[in-house]
Amino acid sequence: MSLDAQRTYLWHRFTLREAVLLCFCATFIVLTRAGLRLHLHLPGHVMFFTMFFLLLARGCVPKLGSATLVGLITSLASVLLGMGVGGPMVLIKFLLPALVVEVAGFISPCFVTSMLACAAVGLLASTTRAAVSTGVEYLIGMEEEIILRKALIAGMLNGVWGALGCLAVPSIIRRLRLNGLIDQEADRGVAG
Amino acid sequence: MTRTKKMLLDIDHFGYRYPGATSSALKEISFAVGEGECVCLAGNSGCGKSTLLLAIMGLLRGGALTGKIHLPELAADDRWSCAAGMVFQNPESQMLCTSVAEEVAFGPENLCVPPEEIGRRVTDALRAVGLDGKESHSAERFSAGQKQRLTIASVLSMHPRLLLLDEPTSQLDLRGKEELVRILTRLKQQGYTMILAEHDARPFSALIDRYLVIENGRLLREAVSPQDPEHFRPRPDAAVPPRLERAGGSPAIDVQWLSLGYPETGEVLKRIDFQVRQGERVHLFGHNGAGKSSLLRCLAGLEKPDAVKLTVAGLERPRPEQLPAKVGVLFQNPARQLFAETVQEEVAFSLRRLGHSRQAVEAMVTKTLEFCGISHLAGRTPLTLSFGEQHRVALAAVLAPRPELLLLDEPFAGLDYPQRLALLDLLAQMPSRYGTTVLIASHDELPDTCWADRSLTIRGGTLAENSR
Amino acid sequence: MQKTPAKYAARRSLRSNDYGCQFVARDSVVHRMGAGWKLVFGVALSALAAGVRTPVTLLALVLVMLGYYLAARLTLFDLWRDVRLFIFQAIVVIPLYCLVHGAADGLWPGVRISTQIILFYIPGAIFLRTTRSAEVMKGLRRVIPYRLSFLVFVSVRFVPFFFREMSEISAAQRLRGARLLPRQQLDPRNWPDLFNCLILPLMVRALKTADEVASSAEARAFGRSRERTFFDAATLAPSESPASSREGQGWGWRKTRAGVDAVPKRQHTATGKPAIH
Repeated sequence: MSLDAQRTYLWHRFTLREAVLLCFCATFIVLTRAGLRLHLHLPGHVMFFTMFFLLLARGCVPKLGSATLVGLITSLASVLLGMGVGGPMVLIKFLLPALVVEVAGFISPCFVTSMLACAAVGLLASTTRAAVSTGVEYLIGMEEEIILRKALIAGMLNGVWGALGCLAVPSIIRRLRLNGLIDQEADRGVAG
Repeated sequence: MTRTKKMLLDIDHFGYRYPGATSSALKEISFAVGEGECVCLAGNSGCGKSTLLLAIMGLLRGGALTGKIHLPELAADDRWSCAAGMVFQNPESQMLCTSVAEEVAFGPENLCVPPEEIGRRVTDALRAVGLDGKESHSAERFSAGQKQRLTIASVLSMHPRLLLLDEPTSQLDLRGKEELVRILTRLKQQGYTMILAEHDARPFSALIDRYLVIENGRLLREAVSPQDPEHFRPRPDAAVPPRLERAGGSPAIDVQWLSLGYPETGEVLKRIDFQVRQGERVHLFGHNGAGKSSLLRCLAGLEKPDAVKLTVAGLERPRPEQLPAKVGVLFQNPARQLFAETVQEEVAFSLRRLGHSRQAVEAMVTKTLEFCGISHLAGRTPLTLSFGEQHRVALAAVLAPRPELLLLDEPFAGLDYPQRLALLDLLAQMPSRYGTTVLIASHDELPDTCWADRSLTIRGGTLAENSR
Repeated sequence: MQKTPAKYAARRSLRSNDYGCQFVARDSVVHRMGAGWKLVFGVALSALAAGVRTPVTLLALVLVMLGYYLAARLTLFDLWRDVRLFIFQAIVVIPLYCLVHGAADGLWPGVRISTQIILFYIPGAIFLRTTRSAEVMKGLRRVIPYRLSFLVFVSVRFVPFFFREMSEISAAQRLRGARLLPRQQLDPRNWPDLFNCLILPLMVRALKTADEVASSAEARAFGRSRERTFFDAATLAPSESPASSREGQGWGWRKTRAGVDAVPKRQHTATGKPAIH
């Protein structure tokens, strides 16, 4: 008699084990953010590890929704730990890049195995983060020309760091798969 | 086991194969457990004890199952109890909440027990394990023994009919083990039925009614007495190589007036003074929290203590970056440092960093793998190996550069008795083969008491030599 | 007094307010305000900060914010720490304005915008500094389903665990020759060491720990039913320990009596959320 596979726990697709793994990815993002803020004060550099772990989460749990879950948990955990200044903004700051990763995963489920794809997704996703500050600046009444210039600088910095951070993802995923620690197949999961 | 005793657990020709595995983890297991009994599943690592406990809990997923497991029946209106509760090996990853009360309340919350009843259960469970009064504490500062007791309390609050414990003493020192035995004895007197999986059940011998010896997934035999003490005695035919007599030469470790303190915990090491000659085999014994790990970290350059003199392998107050060629350090749970794609690469890592040529690296790796008895694993991926094999690979990786001094912090954690003996055998040969000085820090007596040339005890931050 | 060892210096500075707005345990009107009210008030203030345009209104708002800040019994030093997070934005904005409009015309808009940015984020900082994590957790439980709040709490609870793992793995690898020191990591050629020797083993540990955590939770019937009781641990007969009166600066939170003994004994279950299953 064969036993049932793992029971799904969240959103009709994640087992408890996968969900906990994703929440540990959130833990890593929080830890590296705190660590980097202590040692360096370079703008945008927090995206280096944030994007890395977002993509790694997608690679370890190749289901639609994994990056979103990590983004959600990270933002809520940041607020709990006193790192999430800006209230609801912190949610958007993590969900926007996560959504970019989801879209990329929807278009090409195996994109995490390609360095180029990872760098591109990292670049795109990190620049969306700068869009949050841009939104606030627009509300505040900053001149559009200034907003644009600032967005360009911030976007570039964030994007470069994000892209660099993602370059290591394919090799880590490959080694984890080689050791049989994560599954090979990319599963789109049930929508909704 | 009397026939009149009520049977709480009945296992009938149970077998299980993990998904994707070629052979079954459990084959034709049949036994029954009566109410109030304490049964021990004995056997070495990998025999299937943990799998059996998971099967009783109903936590196995996927794979193929044969036979049946009959659990204790709960009354129809008893929605707030559970048939079985399980305590796992590692208390750290079992604790899911930040405070003690929350942790103990977690189980009943899942069973939808009303809040007033939960409050009562939390207080009772904490009292049963001797942690009453600590409801609002954070478990982070607890000792390993206290953490393990907390996990037992968090299971007791669910009022289980059957209590399963998977290697509960694996992280505990002697004191922790004694506390645990006391708690379990008390629970047995209160009528709890327990199944214990342990590879070394000696501390529990007064408590256990029956032993079920499992090997390779099969139930070998039932016994009422613990495993033959001969099993635990070091093999009489394997002689420990004699002590290396080496006159003169600088000491491998020279420590004078070393003190270390932290703002939060106060003084951890107080004026430590000792020397270790080259080629000696030293055992450093001490309970958890006595300062063993701190001392080893000082020797490895990871802490910055105050000391009149701190010379390690000829280096004054070394930083960790200076040590790879001269000092090898194996921390607890060394399997977590493995990362390479093959065992060969893993063992070669340090050598490559030290700048050796490719041929030299290959030769040294081959010799090291042979010495450690894992030549057959050279092409395997390290993370797919069993825990014991991973342990050996990590040791080989540390030994490859032929260090002058080898420091080991709790090397036996997670290893069963034969594996511990094998490790000691290997380490015993190091002084005579390579002239390495070996220092083992552990909170247990060594499996082979003849191994050490010298024995030191650290207690409350002070060091004392044991007379032989 | 011993020189603080590197490991504990890092841990202590992680506990300090340097990386964020940690809760500050004082007794003030703002501390006693409910979390929900503080959020609403904060959003209103932030909206005002976004809308202000003239020097007079800006000054008025600055004074109101200062008043709010001081009403929370927070010191000017805390203010500096919070403002510091946004100084970079100001540093970029003011020169940009001056560049585009010239120094004379660009200064006022630049200063106004920078001040607005800071004022926009200050209420959020005040919220974090005056709200105990326990209250935030309780609030979260009411708003999001238990399956999700469990994940958030677990991710926070394991922060010190993985911090310790990170330091221990890093120490072991450095002793094998891996180049993991911050100053070595400034050289991008050493980045492979960071990912292979530190991050990969960390992910392996995360995978194993996720297994163990899931087993531990499932063994205690977690996730089996659509609802679960919420037990307020503060309602237990409290036991005092010297440590427990020190409120949660840092990763481990300790429930204290101050501020929670006013909480009435609650008898409710966390229902009302549709099943997520």
